[in-house]
Formats: sequence, C-alpha cells, structure tokens
Amino acid sequence: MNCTDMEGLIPLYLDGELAGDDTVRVKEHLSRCPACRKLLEEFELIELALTDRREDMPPPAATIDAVMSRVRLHRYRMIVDRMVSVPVLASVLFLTVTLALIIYRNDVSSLFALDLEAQGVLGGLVQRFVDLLMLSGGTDLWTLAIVLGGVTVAILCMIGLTVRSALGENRV
Amino acid sequence: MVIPLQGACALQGAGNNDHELVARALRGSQGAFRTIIEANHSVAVAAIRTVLGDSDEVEDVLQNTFIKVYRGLAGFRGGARLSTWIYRIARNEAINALSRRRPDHARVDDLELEARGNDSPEDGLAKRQLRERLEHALSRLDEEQHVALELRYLGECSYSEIAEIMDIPMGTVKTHIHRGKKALRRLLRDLRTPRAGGGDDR
Repeated sequence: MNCTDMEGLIPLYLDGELAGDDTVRVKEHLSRCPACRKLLEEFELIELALTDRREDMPPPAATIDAVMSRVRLHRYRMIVDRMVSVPVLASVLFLTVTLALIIYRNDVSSLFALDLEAQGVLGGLVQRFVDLLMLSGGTDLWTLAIVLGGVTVAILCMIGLTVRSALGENRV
Repeated sequence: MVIPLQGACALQGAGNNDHELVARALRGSQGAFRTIIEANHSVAVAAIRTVLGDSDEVEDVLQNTFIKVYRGLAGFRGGARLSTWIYRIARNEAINALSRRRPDHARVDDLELEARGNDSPEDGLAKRQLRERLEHALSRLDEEQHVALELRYLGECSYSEIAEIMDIPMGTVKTHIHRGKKALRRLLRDLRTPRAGGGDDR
C-alpha cells in the first residue's frame, strides 16, 4: 500500500467502509507516514465541515409551526368556501321562486301556465308546486317570507365572501 | 473518526408506517402531519440546498414543499417511500424557485456569513471562511456527487436510503460519496487562494 492509494482509501476508512484487512493496512500505513496522516486530517476536517452545515438548517420546529398554521388556514378556507357556496345556491333558488310568485300575482299566470302545460310532466309539477304555495297561507305572507329569507342569505353570502377574501391574503 | 449516520433522514422504521401516517393525516390528524414534516425535514433541506445552495430562500421553499405535500397526500400511492416522494417535491420546488430567482440575487454565503457567526472573532472567521469555501466547492461538484453528499451529511441518510431516493444501486452511492469527498478536497485546496471574480452560481 503506497501514498497514492491512500487518497482513495481514506474516505472509505473514515466511513467504516473498508474490509478488515484493508483497515489494518491503512492504519499501519498511517502510523508511519506523516503526509498521509495530514491527508487523513484534511478529510476529517471536510467531514466535520459537512456535518457542521446542519447548524444552518432551519429548525424543524419553526418549519412545522409555519406549515401547520398555513394548513389550518387552508382548512378554514375550505369551510368558508362551503359556507359561501351553499348560500349562493340558496339565493339563486329564492330569487327564482320570488320572481315566479311576482309574475303569478301580476295576472300573467295564465300565459305562464300554458307554457308549463306545454312542457309536459316537469311543467305540471312546477305548476302544482306554485298552486300549493298559493293555497297554503296567502301570497303576501309567502312573498314576504321568501324575500326576507333571500335578503338574509344574501347578507350571509357577503359576510362569507369578506371572510374568505381576508383569509385569501395568505393562500395555501 | 467515523461519523455515525444510521439513517436519521426518516424516523426509524418510518417506511413501514408511511401509509398509516398518510391515512391519519388524510383523516385530519395534525399530529400525523407534524410527524411527517419532522421525519422528512432534513431530506427536504438537503434536496433544496443541493439546488439553491445556502440561500435565504431555503425556509420559504421548505414551507412550500410541505404545503405541496399536504395538498398532495391523497395522491400518495406508496410506490416509493414517503421520504423519496417528498425529496422529489422539494427538489422541484427548489428548481422552480431557482428559475424565478432574479439575476442579481445574492447567495447567503457571499453576503451574510460575516454577520452570522457567534463564535470568537478568530474561530468565527476561520469557520466562516471554510464554510464559504465549502459551499462554493459543493456547488462545483458533479450533480450526483453533490446530491449524495447533501443527503448523507445534511439529510443524515444511510447509504440504502440515498440509493432509494436517487434510484441508483448502493455501490454507486458509495462511489459518488467517496469521489465527491476527493473532489471537494481538491476544490477546497484550489479555493484556498482568494477567489477572483466573486459569485459563481451554477
């Protein structure tokens, strides 16, 4: 074993990757060769410097806290998204029914009913639903309730959208 | 000196628990997701530092990586270990950050190391100079040698874990690491003379 071989063997020796016989031979060479001992020190210094770089790693705790707070924000956003999408659909439904009632009360119902009849089974079902509303409590009461409901849902939508936009400043 | 590295890059036996951890995280367990971050933190840092060096962007990219992991958990099929999957996400995030980097972006080792040390002035200076030369030398290594060394020393991965992450045989991992160290020694010797010209990003 000569000094030229040592440059290749010392990294393996330091990593414990040499076979038993080779380890003995490297140790024996190191004990009598100052130049190779210096080489060993250089590789040890490199290993130490490589390991020391872990000091510069961001601490896991800081990363975990930052990520978990963004994850929580993501979950809130999903909840708010759901809170917004349901009232939006409900508002559209309320608006449609309200408009239908207004049209019905303005005596264009006969024209409307003719169209509905022309639409077959589905049209007949809608006609029966509107008739049921009219019969079970008076149009004024129903219209008022539906308009108030629609306004309430619209306000909820606006609150939801405001919260969502506030959360949206820090997107996941 | 033999540095003991027993595969700390993922929690011991975490490979077997990957599915269970992912399933718990998907059911909303924040504790499970914390464990996933904790177990794979050093691997992600190693992946990012290989691409970006010692940059002030590392923490941001690291956070984005784990947010991507969180959002993609449902798509984790378990064909590879969780650490391998996270390594790839981290590397892609770092490459994206590198492509967005402004041309005048300075690396931390060029500007901030002076202000960082808390050792005595002489020790601190010597250490910082060595650290600066080391970062510079690492950035000049062959890509695969650099990746293997970062996973070994920053990621604290065993050879078998590195082989799995890099998708190469274990013998090749050893070769990359040992050749990488030899190349580092030569580069560090060359860099002992004051550097001319300044920043030499990849």
